[in-house]
Amino acid sequence: MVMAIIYVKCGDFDKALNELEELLSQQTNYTVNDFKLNMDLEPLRKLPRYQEMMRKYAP
Amino acid sequence: MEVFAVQEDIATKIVDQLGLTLLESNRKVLASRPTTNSKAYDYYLKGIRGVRRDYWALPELTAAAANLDSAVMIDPSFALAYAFRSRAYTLLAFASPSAVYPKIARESFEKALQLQPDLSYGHMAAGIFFNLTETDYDRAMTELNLAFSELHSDADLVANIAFVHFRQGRFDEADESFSKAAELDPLNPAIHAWRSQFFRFRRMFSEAEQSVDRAISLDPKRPYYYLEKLWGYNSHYGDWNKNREVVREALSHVDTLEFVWTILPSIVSVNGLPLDSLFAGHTLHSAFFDRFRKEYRQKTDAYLFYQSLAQGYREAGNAALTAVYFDSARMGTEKQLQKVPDNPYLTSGLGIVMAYLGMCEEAVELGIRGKELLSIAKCHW
Repeated sequence: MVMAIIYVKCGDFDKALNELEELLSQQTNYTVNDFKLNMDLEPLRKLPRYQEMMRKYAP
Repeated sequence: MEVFAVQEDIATKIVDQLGLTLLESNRKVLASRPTTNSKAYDYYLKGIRGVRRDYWALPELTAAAANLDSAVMIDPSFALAYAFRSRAYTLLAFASPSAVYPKIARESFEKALQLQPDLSYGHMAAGIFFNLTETDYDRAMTELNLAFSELHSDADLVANIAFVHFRQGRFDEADESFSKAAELDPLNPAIHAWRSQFFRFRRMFSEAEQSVDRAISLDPKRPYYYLEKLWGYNSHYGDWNKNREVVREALSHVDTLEFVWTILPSIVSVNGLPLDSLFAGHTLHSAFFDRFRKEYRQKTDAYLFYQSLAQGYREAGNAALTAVYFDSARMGTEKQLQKVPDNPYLTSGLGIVMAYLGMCEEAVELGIRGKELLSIAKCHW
């Protein structure tokens, strides 16, 4: 998650999304719900890849 | 010493009256005199509570370590006190990265085992050290198994075995051991909170909620348990109203400042949940920050203190003070990292601070390094 936040803050949204995908595809502490309210991920919300990821990993 | 003779006498009489047969190992434990000095024993008793019940609470661990320091200072042949002293410093090293704490932790369990090579609690302390400080699971399990042959009914030991399995990703074994630990000591809130963390990780949210609620009902004044519940609710529901339920529950038992302090480095900084939203429009007034500065500067490491203040001011929309405190956090974390260069939490934490300060090249480098130091494959916790 830390890596995703760093990439968002530095404007590298593609790499941030890679990090989020990694978190969701493996057994980790995170679910899509953890991303929904995270203010640091705000810049990613409108991106189609983010929206697709949220659908794909929805519980 | 009189107190131990009385203790052994009472226990032996109870066993006789119940018609039970004691194993040789149990008889040995009953007859043993851990120290001949009553003052050292008092300090030991005060110290072990903090170690066995407050796994991750920094103030309690600090007090426990000080009591156990006193115990071994008064009686340098007190092997059991050395074993628990090792555990206190191992946990402190985990909660507050330092080069000194792991050194004391290692020296203490080595001393315990030098004084008493077959001391099960010494092997347990060594196992916990190798798990938490060295991330050496094989060595940790070797030591914990040595302790297990005598202490198989000790919930604290069984929970620590579960924790190693959890970190290794051996979930079925972890599940079994956590369940056994909770059965052995159902009144230990720390074990229920730990088990909740495990269930949350497995995305078994109802079980996680049940376990954390048991922890809260047993010790409602411990802010960490509400943080655990908040994590679970956030992952399960992703809903502000549900999160606020937990915050309201917490604030009915715990001081606001203490709760904010507990959640700032984790659920606010990493999970990105704004305090204003969690507290439903509650504004962080300057008096709040004044109290925070006054009460927490002495209680915590400088880097964490500044990081938390920076996050707090960021929440309050004060850009100037946010930048000032992030810069102080950067300096504090760099200094700390020089002492413990391979600490994954400090490395990643500095990465985030750098990112907030716009130092992206350094931030990415540190983030990658932090991830390498503690990958998911290396630790599933």
